[in-house]
Amino acid sequence: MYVAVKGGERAIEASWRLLEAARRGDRAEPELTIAQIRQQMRLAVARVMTEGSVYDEELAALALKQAAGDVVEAIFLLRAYRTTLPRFGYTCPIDTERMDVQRRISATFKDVPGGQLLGPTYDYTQRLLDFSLLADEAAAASADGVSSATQSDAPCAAAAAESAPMPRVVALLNAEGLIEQEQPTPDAVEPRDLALEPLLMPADRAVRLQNLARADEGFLLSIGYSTQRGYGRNHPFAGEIRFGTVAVEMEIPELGFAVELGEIDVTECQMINQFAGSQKAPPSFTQGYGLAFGHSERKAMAMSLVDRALRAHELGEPVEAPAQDAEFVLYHSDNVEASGFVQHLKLPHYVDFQSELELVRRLRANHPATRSDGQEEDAA
Amino acid sequence: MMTDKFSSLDSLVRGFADPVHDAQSTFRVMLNALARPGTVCSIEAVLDEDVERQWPAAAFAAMLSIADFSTPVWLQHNDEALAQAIRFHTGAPLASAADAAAFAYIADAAAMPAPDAFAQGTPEEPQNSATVFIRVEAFEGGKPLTLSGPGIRTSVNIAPVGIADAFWHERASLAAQAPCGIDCYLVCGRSVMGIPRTTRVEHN
Repeated sequence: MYVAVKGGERAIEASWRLLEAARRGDRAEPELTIAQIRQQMRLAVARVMTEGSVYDEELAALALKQAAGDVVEAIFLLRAYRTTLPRFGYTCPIDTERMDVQRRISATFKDVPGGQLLGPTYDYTQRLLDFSLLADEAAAASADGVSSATQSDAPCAAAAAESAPMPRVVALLNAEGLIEQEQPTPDAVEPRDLALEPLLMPADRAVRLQNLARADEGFLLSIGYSTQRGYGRNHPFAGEIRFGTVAVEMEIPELGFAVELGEIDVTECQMINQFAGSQKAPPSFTQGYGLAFGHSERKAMAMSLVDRALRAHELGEPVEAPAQDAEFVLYHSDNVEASGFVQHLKLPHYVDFQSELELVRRLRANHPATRSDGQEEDAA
Repeated sequence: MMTDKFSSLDSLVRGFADPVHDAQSTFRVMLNALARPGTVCSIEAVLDEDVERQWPAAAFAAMLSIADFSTPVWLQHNDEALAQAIRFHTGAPLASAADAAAFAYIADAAAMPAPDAFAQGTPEEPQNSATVFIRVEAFEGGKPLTLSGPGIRTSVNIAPVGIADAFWHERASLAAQAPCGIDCYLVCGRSVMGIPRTTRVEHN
C-alpha cells in the first residue's frame, strides 16, 4: 500500500542545513571568495552568464558558489534572479567589428588582415595535467618564473588589440559574391523577445538565435557534432572566431543619441558552410552564427553549427536530420526547462503511481497470459 | 532643445518612497480587484500630496507598479505633468493613439472613447489588450449597475458616477469576442474597482 507522505517540513529544513554544510565542505579550508571564482573560474562564470542570460560576473560567480559548482543549478539561480530585475529597455545592437580583440582566429585564411591573434587558448596545450598547480602559486612561481612571464606578455597583447578595427573574414569573400553576407532586413518587424514571449513555431531566425544563445552548451555541442558526423552535413569551416570586449550602448529618447552604458566580453563565431545551391540560387557559401557572453568558444561554435543546420528549410535543403528539425532542437535546448522536467520526477507522484498500479493490476487480471499462468498454478 | 526637456524637472512629482514594496502591495491590490470584480479596494502605498491632488492615487500607483518600457501608455488628455512622471518613473513610452496603448488613463469618463478604440488582443495573444484606468467621481450615487461573472458569487450592485450608458452598451456588444477584450479599473482617490473583460455589466 502506498501512503501519501504528510508534513516533511522538518526534514526539508534539516536537508537545507545539510546542503549548506556540504556546500561549505571542510571548514578547516579557507572559504572560496567570489573574486576568486570570477578570476580563476572565468570560463564557468562565462557559461553561467550566457545560459543564465544575465551579464554579471559577480552574480554568476555567486551562483556558482551557492550551487557548489553545479553549472546548470547556477544557471537556474541566475535565471530566477533575472525575473526580478526591472527592465529599462533594449540596448543598441553591439558592433563586434569594433571589438577590442583579445583573440581572433580564422581557419579559412592564414593571412587575414589584422592577423591571427591566438590570445589565451587551450587549443595548443597538450592536455597534460599540470601538477605544478597542486603546489602553492608562490612556490611554483619562484621555481620556474611563469607568473612573471605572463605579466610581461600582457601589455603586448593589449597594445596589439588596440591597433585598428578588424574587418570580418567573411567580408573578404564578399568581393566575388561567394558568400552570403548578413544584411539587416529593411523595414523588418522587431524580433520577438523570447524572454517575454513563448517560443512558437515556425520560429524565424531571430527567435532561433535567441533560443540557441541561452541553450545548453552540452546539448548544442552534441547536436552540432551530429551535423559534422553526417546527420545534416553542411561542411563547416570556422570562418572567424573572435573574443574580446565590446561597448554596450543605449538610445535615450530624451537625449536623441546613444550613450555607452559599459563594456561586456563576448565570443563570436561565424561559421562558413558549403551550400550546394538550389533552383533559385547558385552554389555558394552560407553562414552560421554564434554569440556568447565571456569567453565561450565551444558554445559559440556549436551554436553556429546548429544555427546553420536550422536554416535548412529557408535554404531549400531537405530537412532530414535532428539538427535541422527546429521543433526538436529549440524545444529541448533549454537546460533550465530540461533539468526541471527531468528532476521533477523526484517529487512525490504517489497518487499518479497508485492509479497506474490499479490500471496494471486490472489489465493483468484480464490478460490471457496471466489467466493461463493462474490455471497452470492451479493445476500444479 | 535638451534643456527644454529637463528644465521642468523641478515640477516632477515623486514616485514611490519604497519602490519594491510599494509596487508589490499595489500589484496585490490590483490583482485582488480584478479577481473580485465590483469590490472597492484601496491601495496602501503612500504617495506625495502633489500626486493625490492631481490624479487618483490608485491610478498613479498602478502605473508606477506595472508600466515599463514595453507598455505604451495613452492619456486621454494632454497632461504634461503626468506624462513626465510616467516617462521618468517607469520608462514607459507615451502612445499617440488609444489603440497602441497597453495602459490608458481616462480623466474624463463621460468623454471617453468607445471600448473598441483600445487594443483588444488576439485569440492567440489575448493578453495584448489594453487595461483602462477610468477616473470616476464616486463609486456611489451614479446609475445602478449589476455585475455578474467569474469572481462574483451571484451578483454585485455598483453605481459609479460619470460613465456614460453608451460605454456599457458598447462594452457588452464586444463580449462575443472573448477571450479578447479590455480590462477596466474604475479609480477614485485611493480606491479602485476592477471590471475585467469577463464581467457582465447590466443596467438595473
